Amino acid sequence: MRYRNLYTYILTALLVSVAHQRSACGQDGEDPLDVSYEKQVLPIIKAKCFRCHGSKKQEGGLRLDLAESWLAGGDSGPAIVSGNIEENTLFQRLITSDKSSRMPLDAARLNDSELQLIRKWITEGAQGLVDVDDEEHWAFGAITRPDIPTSENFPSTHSIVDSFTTSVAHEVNRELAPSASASTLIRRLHFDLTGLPPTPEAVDSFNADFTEQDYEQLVDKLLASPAFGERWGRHWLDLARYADSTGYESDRPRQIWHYRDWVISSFNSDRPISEFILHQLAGDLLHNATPDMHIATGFHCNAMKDPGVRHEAVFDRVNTTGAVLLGLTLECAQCHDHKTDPLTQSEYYQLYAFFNTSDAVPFDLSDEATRQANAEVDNKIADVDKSLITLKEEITNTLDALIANRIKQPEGIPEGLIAIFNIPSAERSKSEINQLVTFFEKESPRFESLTEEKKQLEATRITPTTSLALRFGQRPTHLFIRGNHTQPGDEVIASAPSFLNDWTVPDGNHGSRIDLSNWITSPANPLFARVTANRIWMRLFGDPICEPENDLGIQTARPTHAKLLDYLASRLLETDSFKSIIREIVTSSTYKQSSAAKYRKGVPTGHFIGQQRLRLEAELLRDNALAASGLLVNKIGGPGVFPHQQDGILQNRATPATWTVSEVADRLRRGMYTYIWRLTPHPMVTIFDGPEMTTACTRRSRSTVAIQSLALLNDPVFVECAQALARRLLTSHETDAQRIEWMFKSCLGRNPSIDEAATIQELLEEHTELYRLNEEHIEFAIGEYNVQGMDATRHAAWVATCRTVLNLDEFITRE
Amino acid sequence: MYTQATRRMFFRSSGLGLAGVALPSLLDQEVTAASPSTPYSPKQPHIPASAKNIIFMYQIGAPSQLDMFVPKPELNKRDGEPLPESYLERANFAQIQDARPALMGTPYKFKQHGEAGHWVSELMPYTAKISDMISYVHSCEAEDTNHMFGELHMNTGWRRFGRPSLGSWVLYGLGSESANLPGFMVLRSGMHPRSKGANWGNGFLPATMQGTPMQFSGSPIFNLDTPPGFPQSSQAATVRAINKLNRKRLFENPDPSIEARIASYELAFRMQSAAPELLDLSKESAATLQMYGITDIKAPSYARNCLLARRLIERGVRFVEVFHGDWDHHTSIYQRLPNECKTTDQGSAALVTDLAQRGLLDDTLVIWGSEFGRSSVAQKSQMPGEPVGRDHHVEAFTMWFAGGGVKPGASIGQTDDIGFDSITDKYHVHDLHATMLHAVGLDHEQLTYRHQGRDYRLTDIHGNVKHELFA
Repeated sequence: MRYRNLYTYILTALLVSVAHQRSACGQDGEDPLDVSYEKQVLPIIKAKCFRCHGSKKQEGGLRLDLAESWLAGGDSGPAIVSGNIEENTLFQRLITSDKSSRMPLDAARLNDSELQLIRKWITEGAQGLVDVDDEEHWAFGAITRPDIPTSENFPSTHSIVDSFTTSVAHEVNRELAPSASASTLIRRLHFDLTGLPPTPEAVDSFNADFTEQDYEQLVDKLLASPAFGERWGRHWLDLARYADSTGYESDRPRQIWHYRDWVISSFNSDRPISEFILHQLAGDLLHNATPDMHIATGFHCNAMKDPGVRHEAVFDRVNTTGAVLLGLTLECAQCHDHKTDPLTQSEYYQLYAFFNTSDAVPFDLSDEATRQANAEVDNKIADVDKSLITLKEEITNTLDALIANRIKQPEGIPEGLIAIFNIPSAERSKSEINQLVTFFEKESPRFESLTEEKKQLEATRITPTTSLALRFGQRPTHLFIRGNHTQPGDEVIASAPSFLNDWTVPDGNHGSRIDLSNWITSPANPLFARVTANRIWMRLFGDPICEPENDLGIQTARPTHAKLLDYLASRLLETDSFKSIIREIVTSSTYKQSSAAKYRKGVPTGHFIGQQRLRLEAELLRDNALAASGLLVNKIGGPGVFPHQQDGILQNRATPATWTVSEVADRLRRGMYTYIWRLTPHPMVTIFDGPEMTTACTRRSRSTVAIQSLALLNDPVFVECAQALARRLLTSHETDAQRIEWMFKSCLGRNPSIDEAATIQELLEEHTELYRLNEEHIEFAIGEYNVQGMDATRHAAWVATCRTVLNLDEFITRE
Repeated sequence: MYTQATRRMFFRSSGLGLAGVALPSLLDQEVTAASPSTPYSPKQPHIPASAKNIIFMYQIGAPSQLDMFVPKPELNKRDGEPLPESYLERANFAQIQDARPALMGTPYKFKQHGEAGHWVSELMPYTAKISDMISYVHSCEAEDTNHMFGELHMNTGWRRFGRPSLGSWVLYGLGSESANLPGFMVLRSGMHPRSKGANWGNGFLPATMQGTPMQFSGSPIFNLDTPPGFPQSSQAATVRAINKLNRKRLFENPDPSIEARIASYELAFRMQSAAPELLDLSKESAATLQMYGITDIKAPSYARNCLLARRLIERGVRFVEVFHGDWDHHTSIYQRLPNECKTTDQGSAALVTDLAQRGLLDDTLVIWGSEFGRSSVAQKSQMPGEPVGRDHHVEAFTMWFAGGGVKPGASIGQTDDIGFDSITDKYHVHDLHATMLHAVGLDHEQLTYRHQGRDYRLTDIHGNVKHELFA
C-alpha cells in the first residue's frame, strides 16, 4: 500500500469511527468508540516496534508490518490471541516488570494511555489488522535527485521545477495558471527578493513584452541588491528568534545586533549554506576564528535567558536546532522517548550535551587600544580590591579592640548593633561578625578613600562594543529524569540521533558543535536540505511543499510534491547556495503564475496551481509605505532604532524599558531595525502577525482583522507617508492626471485604469470641497510637508487622496 | 480625542447624503444589526439555545482548587504524609521530583455559602456571595500538564497549534449581533497566556472569525482616533474610496482575501465611533463601579476588563474571553495565591451580579476556569528557604458556570478523599466544549468545517454534552 493510499485509509477509518459515534450517541454507559487499529494502535506500533519487528528486522522472529505475521507470531508463539488479555504474549511483554524482557527493549515503558488503548483493541478482538508499508519514512530516506518527468506536451520554456508541478497538475487534469502580468511580476519579485516595492522608473523599464532575458536580468539585479540580504535575513531572524532583550519577565536589554547584521551580509554575499550553518553553530570553535565567526554564534545566544533557568536556554537551543535545521519536534523527547519519531530520550540529551558545554557571553569587539586601556584599568581595580580585602581582614582581626574603643563614645551606633557589641567574641555568629565588620568599614577613612578610588577607576572604563557569542567550557551532561533538571540520570556524551545519517567522530573525541554542524549539513543527512528547501519554497509561494514545515517526522505524510522537494533539496546540496535555489525557483513558470482566484479554485492543497496573494508582513507594510513615499532611509545595520510607537506599550513591565524616538534618519529606517523588546514588541509586530520571538518562529500567520485597518488608516507613520507622497507628486508633476498616474506607479507598480483615475479624481474634488469647508484642518493634514506656492486646500486634498491609495488592499498585498 | 462627531453628523457634514456609493453596508448597519452582507451576520443555531453569548473568564496558569473551592478534611488530616504508592505510580507531575512527595492540606478556612451550600474558602469572599447563581464542576479533566499545550487544549480543543479557537467556532456557528465591533473580543490582564494569539486564533476558519485582542497597557484599542487634519467626513470619504477601489479589484478577482479586507475596513470605521463609547466608563454609576471595585476608570485592571466584558455583551458581541494570569504557584503558594484571588474575586463576582441585574445573565453563559488545576501534594522549591507550592494537576480541577440556562447553585462531580481523582461525573475538556456549544445552540457534531479534505470539529471525534449542568 502506498503512503498516500494509507492516508486515505486513515481518513476513511476516521470517518467511519465518527459515524459510529453518532449512531451510538445517547446510549448511556456504553463507550461508543471502537479502537481503530490504523488510526490509534498502528502509530504506536510503528513508532515503538517496527525498528526491530518490521520489514527489515524480525527480532525473535516477530514481524508486525504484515497482518498475517501478527497471527503467526514469533518464537514465543502467537503475538495475540483475540480477546483474552491474559493469554496475549504481546501485551504481557509490554507490561512485564522484568526489564530484560519488557518491550520496547532498552526504552521507556509505553505509557498508560497507550497501554489502555492496546488492551482495549485486543479485548475488542484486535480488529482491523492490515499490511502496512514499512518502507522508510519518506523524509528519513537519503536525498537523491529524482527523475525529471517529461512529456511532449510541456512547453519549451519549462524549467525542471515546472516539469514537476505540471506533471502533478496533469494527474488532476489541471494546467498551471498562465503567467501574471509584467506589472504584477515586477512587484512580486521586488517584494519577494528585496521586501521593497519597485520604483516607478523600474516599473517603466519592465515592459509588458519583456523577454525571458529581461526577466532573468531583473532577477539577478534584485538578488545582487543589498536589500536582498535584509529581506531574506529577516526570514532567518524569525527562525533565530532574534530580539534585543533577554525575554522572560525580566526582559533586560542585550547587545546582539551584530548578529543580525552578520545574517544580512551572509545572505548578500551568498555565503555557502554549509558555512552559514557552521559559523552559527560553531564559529567560536573554528581554527583562528575571526570576530565575525564569534558573532555568528549569536544564533543560539538569541535563546531567552533568565538567571536560574540556564537549562531552559539549552533546551531552547536543542529544540530550535530540531525545528529549524532538522524539521523535527525534538522537544517531545525532553521527558520521555518521542511518541512517534524514533528518537529516544537519551538521544535528546546527547544533543543537549553539544550545547550544555557552552554559554552565551558578550564577545568584546572593541579595538586593541580600547581593550588595552580597559585591561590597565582592570588591573588597577584589582589592586584596590586587594587593599579592600586586606582592610577587611584587619578589621575582622581587631574587632574586640575596635569595639572597646568605640563604645566609649556610643553616639552614632545603631541601636541593633549595640546589642551585638555586647556579645562576647567567642559567641558571635557569622552574621553578627559581618554586621560589625561592615559597621567599622564604614567608619574607616581608608575604606572611604579606597571605595572612592574604585568608583573613579570604574568610571574611566570604556564600555566595550560587544555581541553575544557562544563560549565553550567543559560541563558534563546527564539525562534529566522526566525532563526535570534537578533529577539527573545517566551521564551522556554528545552525539547525533542514530536513526538519521551515521555519526562518526575521530576516536577518543567527544563530538563538538563543529561535528554536529557537519553532520547536519552533510549530504547524507536526509532532513536539513529538505527542510531548508521547503522553507525557501514557502517564502515564495505562501505555502510550503511539505505541511507542516516544522515537522518532517513520521506523523507527516509524504507531500504531493515530494519529488519536487527532493529535487530542490538535491540542488541545494549541489549548489550550497541560497541565491541559486531562489533564482531557480523564481525563474520558473510555476512561480510566475497568476495569483487570480479563479485559477486556484478547486485546486487540492499542495498542488501549486496558481500563485497566492500574500498580505505583506509586519515590517514590510511600513517599509513599503516609506519607500513609496520616498521617506525610507536605506541604511543597513547598526543598533536597533526607535520609531514612533503608541503610548503605554512599556507599562506594566517588571524591568523598566525605554523608548525615546530616534532622530529622523533612524526613525524612518526599515522595520527590521526597530528595537525588539521581546516582552513588549512594537505594536506593528503584534497587530500584523509578527513573530513572538520566545521560540523559533518557523512560519508567520496572516490574519485580517479590523485593528489592522485602524493601524493603516490612523497610525501617524502612515499619515506621514501620505504627506510625503503628496509633496513628492505635487513637486514632480504638473497635472492631476500625471500625478494620479505617478501615484499609482509608485504605490501599485502600474497605471490606473480610466475608471480608477476617475474615482481618484472624484475623491480629490470631494476633499477639496471638504477642506474648503473645514479650513482649520488643512495645516494638520499637510503637516511638515508643505510645498511653496501650492494652494493649501488642494494640497490637503491630495494628502487625503494619498492616504486612500496607501490603504488599498492591492498596496499592502504581494499578488 | 480628535473630532468625535457622531456618525450621523458626519454623513450630514460630508455633504454626500446617504447615497454615498461604496459604503452601503456601513449605512445599513448604522441602526439595524448586522446586515446579511457581513461575515458576522447572525445565524440560526442548530438546536434550541439556552444562551446567546459566552463570557469565558480564563484564569491562566491553573488556580489551586484545593485552596479555593474544594475542602478536603482528609487531606488536612494527612498533611505531611507521603502520597500513597497507588497514586504515585501514575502521577502526572510537571515539576515535582521527590521520590515521595507529601500530601498538603490547606491553611484556609472553608465555609458553606448560600442555599446552594457551596464550599468556598476565605480567599474568595465575593465569589462565595454569588453561590446561588453559579454551578461548580469539580471533576474537570485535562490531558496535558504543560501550560502552553493545556491552554491550547482548553481554548482550541487540540493540544498543538493550528486549530480554530472556541470563540471563533462560536462566531462561525452563530455570527454576531454586533455590527460595530468584532464578534469575538479578547481582554487580558497580568501575564499573557503562554500560547498567545493561538488561544483566540481562527486556525483554518475564515480570518474574520478570529478574536480581536484589546491592549492592556495604553489605549485598549490602538489607533482608534482619526489623525489630526482629517475630519470625520474625510475619514468616511477615504474609507468609502478605499473600498470602492477594493471592490473594483474584487470584481476583477473574486478572492476571499479582498472581501475580508473590505469587511475589515468597514468594521474598523464603525469601531472608530463605537469603541470610544464602549471604552468610556464615565457613565457607569458609582454603585456599579463600587461593585466591581474599580476606583480609577482609566487604570487597567482585571475588574475593569470584567466590566468591559459586560459592555461588550450589551453591544451584541458574541464571545468575550477575559484572560488573567498568573496562577502558576509552584512555590510560595500561600504568599502569592491570596493576592491573585484578591485581584480577581471581586471583578468575577461583580460581572455575574451585574449581568443578572441587567437581565443579561439569562442569555449569557459565564465560565470561570483554567487549563488544569493544582495537586494535593507539596512541591518543594529548588531555592533554599523558598516556601512550598503546588504542582500542576490534570486529573481533577474546578470550573464554575453561571447564566445561559445553567442550573444555578448545582455542584457537580466529586473527587476522592485527597482531591486527586475525579470519581463521578468527569468533564473532560472535550465534554466541556461540547457542553458550552450546546448552551448556545450548537451541536458539536454538526459544527464542522471542511479543511484539507476532512470535516473538522472543535471536539475532534470526542465530547459528550453534559445535560445535567442545565436547568
